[in-house]
Amino acid sequence: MSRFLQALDRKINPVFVKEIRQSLRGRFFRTAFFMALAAAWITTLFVLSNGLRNGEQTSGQWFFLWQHGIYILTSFIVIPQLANRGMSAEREENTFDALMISGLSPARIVMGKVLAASVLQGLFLFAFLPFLSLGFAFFGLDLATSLIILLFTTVGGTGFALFGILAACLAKTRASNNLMQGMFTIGTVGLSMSWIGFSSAVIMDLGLVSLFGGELFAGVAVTLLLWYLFLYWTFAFTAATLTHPEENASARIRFASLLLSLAALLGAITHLSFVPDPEILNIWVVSILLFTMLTHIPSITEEDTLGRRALADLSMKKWRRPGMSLFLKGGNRGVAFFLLSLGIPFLLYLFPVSSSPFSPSVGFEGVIAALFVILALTGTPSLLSSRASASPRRRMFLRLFILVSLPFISLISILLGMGTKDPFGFPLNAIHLITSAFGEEDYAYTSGAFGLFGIFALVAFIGNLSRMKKARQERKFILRSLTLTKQDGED
Amino acid sequence: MTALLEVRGLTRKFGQLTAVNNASFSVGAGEIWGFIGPNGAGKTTTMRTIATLDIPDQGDIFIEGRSVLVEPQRTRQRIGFMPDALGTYADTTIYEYLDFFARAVGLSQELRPQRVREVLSFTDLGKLCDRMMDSLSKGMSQRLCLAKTLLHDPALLILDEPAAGLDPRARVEFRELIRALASQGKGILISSHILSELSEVCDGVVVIEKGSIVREGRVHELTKNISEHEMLFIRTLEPVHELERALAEIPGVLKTRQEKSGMVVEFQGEEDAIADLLQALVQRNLRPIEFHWHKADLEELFLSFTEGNLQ
Ligand SMILES: Nc1ncnc2c1ncn2[C@@H]1O[C@H](COP(=O)(O)OP(=O)(O)OP(=O)(O)O)[C@@H](O)[C@H]1O
Ligand SMILES: [Mg+2]
Repeated sequence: MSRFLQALDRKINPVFVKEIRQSLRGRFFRTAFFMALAAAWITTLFVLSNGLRNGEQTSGQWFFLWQHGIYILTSFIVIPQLANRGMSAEREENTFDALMISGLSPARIVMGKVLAASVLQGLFLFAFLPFLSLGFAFFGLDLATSLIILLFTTVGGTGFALFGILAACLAKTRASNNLMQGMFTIGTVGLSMSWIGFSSAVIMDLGLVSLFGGELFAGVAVTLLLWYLFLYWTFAFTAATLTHPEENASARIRFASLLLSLAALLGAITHLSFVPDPEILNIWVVSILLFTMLTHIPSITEEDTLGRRALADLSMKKWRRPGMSLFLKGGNRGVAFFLLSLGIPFLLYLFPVSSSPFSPSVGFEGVIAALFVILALTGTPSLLSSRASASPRRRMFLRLFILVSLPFISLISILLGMGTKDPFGFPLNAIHLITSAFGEEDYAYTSGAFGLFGIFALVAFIGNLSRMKKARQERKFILRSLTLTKQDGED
Repeated sequence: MTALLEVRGLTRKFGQLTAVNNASFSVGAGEIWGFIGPNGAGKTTTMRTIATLDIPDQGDIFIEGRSVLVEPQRTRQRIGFMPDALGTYADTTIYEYLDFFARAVGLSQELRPQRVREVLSFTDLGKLCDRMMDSLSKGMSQRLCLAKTLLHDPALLILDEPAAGLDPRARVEFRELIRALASQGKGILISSHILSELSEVCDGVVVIEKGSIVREGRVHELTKNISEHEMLFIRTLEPVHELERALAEIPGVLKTRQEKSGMVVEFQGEEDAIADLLQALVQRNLRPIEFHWHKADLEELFLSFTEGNLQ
């Protein structure tokens, strides 16, 4: 028994212990907890006095929605805020350095904070369960549906806590921390609003289970798996950010665009749950795709020593997990991150729209066109900037180019086509290419722009993939020489 | 034998500004080295780089012959870094704070309380262990910071202005702590502006100015180098200005300056010339009550090596 306790003691994450202790003693958590409980009680009394009088069939749904709404606010706002504050306090209170050299690995530090967030979330869930289950007493509630929704809310809250930690890791100064915090708060408020909207729609539209049967559970499993994978990568990115703060400038932009894409994804889901139209789905996919352009910003810090330090990290076992090393300097994390964020909009196709859930139909050409345009306009500069001969100034220029290329190229095309019958249809107008692909005309395929962007996209894509391969080879080579020098040292 | 700490060609730039420029020095086990220089000279930057908190643009640092850049994790086990300001955790007691870092360095459940108590009593904080961290005075915070630094029994201590904010009594005690640690075989690099503080304990000093090392060596060698001539301290019962007037007439006296209630004299000549000097003073009806070699201290070293330009 004592052996077991010792083993447990060794396993337990010190950051987790510290974080839980500080949160439970801190004013923020206690205030939020009691306010949430008070809100839950007030809602209960209110619904009880009204609902019992009316005796309506749906009163259980309404009751559940109210309670769940409060629970969403705590999960999506309070918990991520706590996590975010927990991390940014380290920097503000001057404890960050001590933590970094404490002997804890960045991965363990981040893990400890996430674990603490999930335990606090568990406390909230525990406190809310009696209220939520009261909903069943008032009828009109489908058990499976509400459990699935509850599961997503809980899992989502913990995930966004990780985002809160990442946001705090990215901010280096007080000013950027405030900016990050503001952005993050806006993001989480947006997320919770759309999730409240969506979950309400689902709960009112009872019988998801009877509608989709087994497919629903498969869908839930796939979504959870994707969410887990996504968090896994975010986790790796967060830990890598702690190890390489120099990378922050480009990482911040990537993070912002990722958060935007996620919020847009939830916005899209809410929209689609009210208007299940495949064309709308495709328009959303294209708009989210446009956000991913920002993630392809090439990094401009590539110092020799940085690379050395990154490789030293790689030589440690903890990075030898699948996919993790992609996020280190030596592992081409820019490309990895781009591919990851490229995947977000396509998650929408998992969402059942009209009768057949997996048929993209109307406007799918638009999606393909957008994909081509984006890959061409961001992949090519990124490839150019990754060449060894690219000077920091040139990289800076290419970086700027990525930000403005889409409107810029379209504008030039319009100017060039001024004299012609259809200035907007002049070749290489990327925006027109995408929008017209949604229309009736066959412009997209016939203009030649489609092909041209396609070729560029393909070249950039393959080039970036081979870049990753090259980086892996280099890494192997240096890892080998690292182990050699280590053995020399031992002699 | 490899030195405990070896800094080799360290360069760190912040944009246009070169905070540390090609700095090299080393510290051996059991030695205490002072790290002195004007404000903004690059001391903190150098120390943070040694502690793996910053990455150099050029050069490398070796702890027991192993690169800090290549093996940062190992470095963190071997060194204890005490920053110039202690960060405090909200809602945490001193004991919990130390327990957290003891866990972090992987001390097991049996060893932890014992080790925490050891460092608490070493830094004389034992009675305060249930106090909240944010209620500590500056001096107590410094002690706590040192206690934290000692938890994992590091071989090398990097102390950035550890004595700042200590009262005179605490300063003397702190000096004793440093000596005790060095006698345990730990190497210590300590930066400070209070030079009288350092001169009592240091085996050697590194003087840095505008990022470059201007002098480096053992204290007794450096003080010998400061002047090729003999330095004497003379005090007479008569007022200083009379002594000064008399000294001006005596051959061999190159330079004089007043210090405390006597004069420091830079003198050219062998021992018998020095004896003649004393005799000459007596003949001029002066009554010397102090007459001895003047030991140049760090303050003088510092003033003579640096120009006092802020970067
Ligand atoms: N993060 C940073 N960004 C930009 N400049 C920096 C940074 N850190 C230090 N510097 C600059 O580097 C120079 C050296 O600073 P450092 O803190 O090492 O000096 P110091 O010797 O410790 O001074 P003090 O005695 O005042 O503590 C200073 O000019 C400082 O302004
Ligand atoms: Mg300093």
